[in-house]
Amino acid sequence: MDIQLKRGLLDVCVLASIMFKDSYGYRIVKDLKPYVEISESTLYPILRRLESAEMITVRTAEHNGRLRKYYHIEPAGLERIESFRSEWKEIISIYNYVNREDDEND
Amino acid sequence: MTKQEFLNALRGELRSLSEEDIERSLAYFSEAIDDRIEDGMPEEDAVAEMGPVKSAAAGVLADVQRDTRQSEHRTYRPGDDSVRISEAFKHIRIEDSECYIKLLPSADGACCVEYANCGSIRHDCFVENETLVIRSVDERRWFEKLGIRDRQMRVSLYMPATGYETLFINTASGDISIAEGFAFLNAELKTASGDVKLSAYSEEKLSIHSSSGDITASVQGPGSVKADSMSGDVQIIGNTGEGDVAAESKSGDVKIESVQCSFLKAHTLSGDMIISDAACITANINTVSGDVCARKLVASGELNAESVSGDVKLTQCDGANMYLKTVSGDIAALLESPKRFVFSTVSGHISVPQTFGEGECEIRTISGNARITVK
Repeated sequence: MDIQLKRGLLDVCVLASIMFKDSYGYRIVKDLKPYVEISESTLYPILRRLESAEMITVRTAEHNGRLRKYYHIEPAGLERIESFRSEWKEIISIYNYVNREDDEND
Repeated sequence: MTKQEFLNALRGELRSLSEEDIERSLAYFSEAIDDRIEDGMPEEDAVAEMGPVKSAAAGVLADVQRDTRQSEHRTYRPGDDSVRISEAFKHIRIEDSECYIKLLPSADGACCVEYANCGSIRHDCFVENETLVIRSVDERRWFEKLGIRDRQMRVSLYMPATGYETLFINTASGDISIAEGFAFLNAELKTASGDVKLSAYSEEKLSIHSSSGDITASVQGPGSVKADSMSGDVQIIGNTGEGDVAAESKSGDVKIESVQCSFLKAHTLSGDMIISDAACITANINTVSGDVCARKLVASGELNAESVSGDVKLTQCDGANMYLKTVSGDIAALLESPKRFVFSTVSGHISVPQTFGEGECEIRTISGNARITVK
């Protein structure tokens, strides 16, 4: 797959995993597993990138006597998902065009 | 590896960073391991799921580098000695005599070539047939080439951090450096005496050649990587594709780290070789007088290691079939799975365990000793 496309898709996948509910590293990796294999090592720079782009925010909370970081989606992150949806419509229409049947009658 | 051992090793890899960056990433991985243990996973497996320490460190380092790069860019203003390129291009061709060539991602997505201290070396810079060409034209008279230059001549190409089809750089004595963020289908870098340092995504083929300079290549992507130097050191880190990886030096050392590939080849004449965390189908390691030290080198097919007078040391290594050969060097190997051992020596002492595996391990020495153990 095209590199830029893949990189962009991973960002959207991570954003989508926290779209409805805040989540944490391991949970995100587990939730994404059926769709895309991603490890915490790969996830780290993505989370940091999304954080510095202010698409997500991080809060630390106690869990079973230790600290866990929860990621929360911000309006800019939701906008990113929305723009993915509209980009995707274009891609689907191109895909449909590529796969079209020859329906012209001579 | 225990959680604490992983975190200690990671801290070691990140020692160049600020304490804040280190603590943040250690807390992150510590949480990831704890979450798995809480989920019922044994500690060792939980740590293994983090992948090699080096790849975990690579992600953190890339992130911190991106941060610093962005802040550098904000203050960057093209001066008089810069040319803005407005035409689109897919190919890049740079031919230069002695300037330091740098490729950097631009902050605003624009493309710009900046010259520093180039004096009377003029550069032609244009786009033709979708190719960006930068070529030095040396108009100096002979006496202008004499004397000591106090400042390094530098050509920096800022361009959008995205994919390009071909990159060709040829320089005589200049260094080449390519910052992280670019992807290339095919890239070829050549320098006579300069060093090459790059971090890139290789889609198909990347080849780097230097005569006396050192090569450090941190590569991602499915493409093949070939790096060779005559007297410089060669280092390849982090290839994760199905392509081949080849590193060669005559008198320099060769280092290959955290790679996944089809065919792995490492060759030196007198330089030493270090290979760690490598998974491949076939591995060919070859030296004359250098020492070979491999850790966690696993070949699903053949693993061949040959030396004349150098020692060969394999730790936690394996291949379906193995062939280990020296003349006067010693061989020490700790293998991951049992083998049928076949060996011959003239005056050396050979000790192998009494195992019967599916694969064969052949050992040949003249005067060298060999000691093989199986995990």
